[in-house]
Amino acid sequence: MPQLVVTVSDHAALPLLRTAIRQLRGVEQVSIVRELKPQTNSQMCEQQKELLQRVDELQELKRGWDNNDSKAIDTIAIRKFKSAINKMTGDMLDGWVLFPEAHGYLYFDFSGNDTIAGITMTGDKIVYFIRKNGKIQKNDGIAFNTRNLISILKRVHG
Amino acid sequence: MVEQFAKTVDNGEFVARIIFSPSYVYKGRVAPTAFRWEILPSGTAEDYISVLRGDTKALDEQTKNFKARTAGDKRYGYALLSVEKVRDIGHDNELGVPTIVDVLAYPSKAHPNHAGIVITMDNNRVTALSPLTPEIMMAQNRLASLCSEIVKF
Repeated sequence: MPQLVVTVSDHAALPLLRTAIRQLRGVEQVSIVRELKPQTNSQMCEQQKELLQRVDELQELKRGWDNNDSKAIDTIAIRKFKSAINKMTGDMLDGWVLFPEAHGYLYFDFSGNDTIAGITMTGDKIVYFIRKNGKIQKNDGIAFNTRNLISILKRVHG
Repeated sequence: MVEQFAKTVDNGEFVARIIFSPSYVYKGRVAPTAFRWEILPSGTAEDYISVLRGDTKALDEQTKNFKARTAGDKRYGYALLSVEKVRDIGHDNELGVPTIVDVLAYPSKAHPNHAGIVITMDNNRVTALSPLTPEIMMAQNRLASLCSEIVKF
């Protein structure tokens, strides 16, 4: 079966593109395979750039940065978070601030109207809560990957 | 003259959480993670979040001699919290588990105004050895949100 490969720069165009292709004569099936390339710095929005800069700052914290029991930030957590930033949008990042955590974790903090949220990222897992309009969503350990992290960000703003 | 502090901490008082790392303050917000239970150099796991009682004048005087924890680091300051509002955290099951938050006096020779924020969740007192949970993170978030003022050293 012949295949058509279309490259798009704006993922928001995908639903419309899928509908348009379906309407073409002879098209039986539309499968969209997302191949996300890492963004270059110039392709990133201001929020992404600012967040990357913040991660770089926190990466500099040495063992003992907050008393003798505090650890340097986990390098795997940093690598995974930086990779996830590539897939984030400016809207998703509104209201979020990144802080260090003394066990060597990253802590992403959200504050907005009627909603608070916090995400702790260790090298391998995410612990999070969202309290939105009085209702709580929480989890004490899901895998730390881009999909799970973005899913939480979307739920906060959604 | 050494100021005397009552054995119980009154609801009308304010307490200060000393913030030694500037990384805990960003975009005008105090990190929830600044409210933590430490493992002391002696190896003891704290079962309260350390704070100081007193007015800003006395705290300014006391904290001016505090040293940065990391050589070359710029010191930061302290955040003030209302004791009444701290004790209000967890009411109406807002954290999703039965929670009691209290502020108790823990005077020491060096710091007669030393106190601790004690958090008990599901009848278990939170310590530096407690596993990280969403409920503890929520309590830390609430504490950070109560910081009415950040006073730089």
